[in-house]
Amino acid sequence: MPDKTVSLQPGLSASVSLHWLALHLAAGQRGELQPMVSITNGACAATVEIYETVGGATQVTLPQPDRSLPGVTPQLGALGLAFGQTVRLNVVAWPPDPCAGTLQFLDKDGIPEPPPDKPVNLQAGQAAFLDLPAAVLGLTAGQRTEVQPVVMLAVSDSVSVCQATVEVFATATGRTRAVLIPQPPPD
Amino acid sequence: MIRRFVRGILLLVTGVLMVSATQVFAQLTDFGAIGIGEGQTLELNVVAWPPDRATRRSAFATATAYRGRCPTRR
Repeated sequence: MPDKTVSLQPGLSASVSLHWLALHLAAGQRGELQPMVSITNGACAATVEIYETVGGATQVTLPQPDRSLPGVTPQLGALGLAFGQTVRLNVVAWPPDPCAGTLQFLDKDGIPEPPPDKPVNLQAGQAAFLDLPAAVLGLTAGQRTEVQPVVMLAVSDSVSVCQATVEVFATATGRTRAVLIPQPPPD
Repeated sequence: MIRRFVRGILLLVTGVLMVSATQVFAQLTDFGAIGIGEGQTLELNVVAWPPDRATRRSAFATATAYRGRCPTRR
């Protein structure tokens, strides 16, 4: 994967890009990545974008996330899912801590959706996900429903830090259409 | 006496390693997992902060995009 070291004066910026073709995947397949910036000296503001390789039109932007707090459940809220789409709940164990918990989807009334809960027990740097395709909910063309992705941290003696993201992508092409990052915990 | 000395050295080395690891991870920005599909490109941007040039401080950043479920981090 591309790895770029830059030395910037204040106000200057730099980027590193990764094309889907570089992943050598079959048509319609999707690749999951973990974009990271490690700062050696000074301070940087980081963002991530997903754009159309042909034409360069930006489709998704992500601000720099806050570091997940140890033992605090990520607050993800709700988001909509339409016919032909899949919603994916990702978690990454934020180094140097592990991530232990359960991934699940609830409907707008808080009732569990069909995919069974997925327990995860990840070491630092490892990732896992749970998918909910619209087809599983029986959505047809023009239909849409709201779902609540939920990460429940395991009750344990060890500290758990789960960095969560939620994506909505086109089931047929794997193209990402939206990304949701956790909201600050309510006061 | 020697055993106490060796134990002291080991504790010191362990402490230095733990502090080093904490510092490295404290300066890590991790976006979690994000996927791309056919015809898409993922771009990771960094801007040296602060954007005004009053503070002439350089920022050295290593921008990395990892594929898949990375078992380890640098």
